[in-house]
Amino acid sequence: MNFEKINVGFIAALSLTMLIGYATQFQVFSGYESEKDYSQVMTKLQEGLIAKGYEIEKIQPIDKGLEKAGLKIEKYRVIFFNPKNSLVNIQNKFPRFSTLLPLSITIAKQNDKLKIIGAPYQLLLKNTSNIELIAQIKQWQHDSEQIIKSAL
Amino acid sequence: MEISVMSDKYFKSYLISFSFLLFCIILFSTLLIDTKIDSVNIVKSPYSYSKTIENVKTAISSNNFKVVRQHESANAHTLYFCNFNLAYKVIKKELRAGIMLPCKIKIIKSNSQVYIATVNIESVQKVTGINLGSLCGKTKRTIEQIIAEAVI
Repeated sequence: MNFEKINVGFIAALSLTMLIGYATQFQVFSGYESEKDYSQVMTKLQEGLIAKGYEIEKIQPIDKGLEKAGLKIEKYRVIFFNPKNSLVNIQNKFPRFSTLLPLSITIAKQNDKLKIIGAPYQLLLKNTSNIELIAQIKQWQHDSEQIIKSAL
Repeated sequence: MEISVMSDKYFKSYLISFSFLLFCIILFSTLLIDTKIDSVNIVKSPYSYSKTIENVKTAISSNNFKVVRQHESANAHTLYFCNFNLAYKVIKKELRAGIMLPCKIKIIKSNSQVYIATVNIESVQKVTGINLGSLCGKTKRTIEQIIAEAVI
């Protein structure tokens, strides 16, 4: 047995495992793709949000706004929503953190496909050390992923 | 003698492997140490709540941005604003940038004080991996300018 070769191989494998582990954190924010019709996905997303107890604040038609200024892009909408029952409590207890709200889901058309992007929950998690709030953010992230996946 | 020759042969491999391992350990440890960041820039306003809202609106216009939406909640007023040419460039550069659109400034009432809060888009870039290049710095400086004008 060549122990020196095995040792070098082991170190390299361990290093690569850690490197891959580090890299996977950046794959979280890549979004989802769907070949379904825009209105079908949009309806499913809204229904999913309401069913999970979120309140839709506004659907921002970014593409329409740009079109009025003479700038043409494919369909680009952002759904802004809030956790219905806990919003006021968060605003009162964590006014600074509440600047990062509302939550959002972006729906953008690109090359006949729909790209659906959730809010940057990692950013929200990094902006609080309150255990109760961290648990809520993780719940929002879980709900958002479930809602998006069911709409695809 | 033979063993010594073998060690020399593998010395470089060991050195490279250990250096790589050390690099990976440092990188991986940044995942384990959950570093908190502050993505919110907050400034105290010397004016009343309603005067601060008006000041921010005026500063937004004077910096070639347009208020596209306003939202009043329990203790805060949020102004969503946009420079259409800039938003167009941002979307063309990075489709996922919808999470930062439109720009927003929140005027918060808390303990009889008025604050102007905004999200630091550089930290959003850092956490999400979205790279807006020079557009990020340009937008950040404009938002800082708007806030500075509002509290003069």
